[in-house]
Amino acid sequence: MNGISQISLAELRLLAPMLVVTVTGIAVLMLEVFQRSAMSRRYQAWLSVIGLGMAGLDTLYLLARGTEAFAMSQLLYMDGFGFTLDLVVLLGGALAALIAPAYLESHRLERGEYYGLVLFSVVGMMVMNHGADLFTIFMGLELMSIPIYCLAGYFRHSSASAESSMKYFFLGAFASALFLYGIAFVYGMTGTTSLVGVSRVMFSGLGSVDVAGAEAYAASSGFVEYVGLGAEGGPLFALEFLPAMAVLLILAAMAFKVAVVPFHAWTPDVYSGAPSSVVGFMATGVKTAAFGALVRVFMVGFFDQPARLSETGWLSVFFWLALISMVLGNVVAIVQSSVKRMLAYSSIAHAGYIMVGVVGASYSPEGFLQLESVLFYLLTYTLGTVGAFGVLAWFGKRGEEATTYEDLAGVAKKYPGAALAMTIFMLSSAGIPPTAGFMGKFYVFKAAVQTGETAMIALAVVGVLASVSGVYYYLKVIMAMYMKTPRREVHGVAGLELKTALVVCAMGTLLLGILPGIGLGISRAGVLSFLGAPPQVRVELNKLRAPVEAGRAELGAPE
Amino acid sequence: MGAAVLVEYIPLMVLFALALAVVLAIVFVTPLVGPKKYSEEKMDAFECGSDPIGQARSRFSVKFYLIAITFIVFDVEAVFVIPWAVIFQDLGWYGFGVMSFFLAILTLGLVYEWKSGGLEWD
Repeated sequence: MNGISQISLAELRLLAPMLVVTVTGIAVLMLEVFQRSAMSRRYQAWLSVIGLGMAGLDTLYLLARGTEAFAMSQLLYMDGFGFTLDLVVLLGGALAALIAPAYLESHRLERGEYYGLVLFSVVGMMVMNHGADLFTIFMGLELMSIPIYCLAGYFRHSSASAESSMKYFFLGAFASALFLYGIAFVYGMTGTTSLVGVSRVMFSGLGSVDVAGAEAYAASSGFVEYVGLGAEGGPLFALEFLPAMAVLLILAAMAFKVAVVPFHAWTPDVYSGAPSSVVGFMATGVKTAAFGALVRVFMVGFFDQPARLSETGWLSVFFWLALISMVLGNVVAIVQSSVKRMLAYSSIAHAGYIMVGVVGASYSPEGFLQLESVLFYLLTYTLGTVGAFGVLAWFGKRGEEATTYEDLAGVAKKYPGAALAMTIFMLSSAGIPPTAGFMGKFYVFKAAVQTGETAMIALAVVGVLASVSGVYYYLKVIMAMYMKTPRREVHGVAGLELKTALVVCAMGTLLLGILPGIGLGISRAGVLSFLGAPPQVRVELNKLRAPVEAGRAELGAPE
Repeated sequence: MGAAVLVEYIPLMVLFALALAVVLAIVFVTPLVGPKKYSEEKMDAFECGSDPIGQARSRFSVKFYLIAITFIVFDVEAVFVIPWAVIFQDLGWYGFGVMSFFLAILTLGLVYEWKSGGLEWD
């Protein structure tokens, strides 16, 4: 066994949630081809939900046990941060599977590949959530994206759906290429793609972390003459151009996936063409995984002062991305006549709000805990957005979807349940208490304000103003449903599954709005167990963790 | 130190610049300098010396796409299997198990394609 690192059973145990989802995906595909084509595919939705649910329970168990470990030759961080994001992604996947059956039946699209694609995409998202190496993250990104491209084109006979799939695919492939180009730059500079290795080698030259450690690392990675640390007395990274290029390329790829301005142009076209049942998942799952990877790459790999806080550091780039996404997303959403396009622009605005949380959390090592606001927001956003698209999936038949405000007119009379659910989701998206969206916004803006910096407070103020202007178009949906008379009869098809999904979303939205402590507790557990955190952050986290661990020891819980 | 590294690349940069200059010269200077005498034969599409038949573009079945994808899947599989086969002895049963797992998943993919009619032309 010459130098082959074997996968141990302990590692496999940690990967169990991913493996369960993978096996479920393969099982669904096999069942699909071996069953009679006339048979209903309803059971596949439930099978997917069971698989995702089992994975979710196991993830929750691993999270509660405080698991922290490397897996797969240090390519994956199996830590609380990853597990928390996994929970959000698994929830989004399960809801997408539940929304589908009635929708696919009424549009005559019933094929089991839908569930298989959702499940494989969930696996990709989980890999991204745990990525400890730029290549792992890239693999996860592709595994997540390719099924999503297919799902966007799932309406086989609709040209809008094909257009949506094609646009997403081309631009997504371009973003992947940028990401790879960024990885190439990083590897060229540091000789490693591991995030911790990158931060060790890259910033040693600028003298902010321990130089001796970095030299030892560079020597052990066999890159000493290339990096040339100490060889001629000067740091290689006096060439600031290279790190800047690397950061910029990786940032562009991530920003494309989370859809922040100016990398948002694909969003409305893709969301409006893709089947409603899957758009919610596309908007939330992809955003969750991409934000997870973004936080991990920048917090672990590029956290050091010059890269983060200098004039051209990434923090100021994040700041502006957040600002223009919130403003542009909300303003452009106002003028949309299609509800799907409006929700697409609102998802851009939401990406902006989440970015505010990231900016607030990465401002100083002490504020790192504020990352919990990002995790919490992703959870509330998932519930509200998947729910809203679920309601849209309720209405329509044979390729005709409810997309405009007029299509929703009079829904409240015929389908009061759907209208009530939609109202809750819209209020949550607008950020009105007592819904989860309000608490989510509260925490991300708090993350920005707690830095005490004027610019950050201004960012939060802009965010609040932008979200106030957002109330206009969210209320327009509610008004259409309750106060407009329909031009023609609304027609909706909902099965037990769709109703279950909507009830889960609505109850979750209200619950997290009234008792945010549940979601916040999980988010905090996730942030406190963040593997690969830079040394100055780890000091802060350990201070906060001490009482938690003492409590755990007192309760006699397993380590 | 940084500047010293870059100096080594100057010949390469010169080569790039020359290559670019030659390309630009061929594309932009030739039409300016060269004589222009048009005739019917010259303007014809060239097809191995014989008279052109039909359009240069033609449509072909989208099914070739599926065949191409299937080919790529098994082509890439070979790329993974061959290095394993070369050091098969050193990797032992662990390597064999891992490779079997990989091939099993791929086989399930083949089963899926076969059953859903991907291997039939009609």
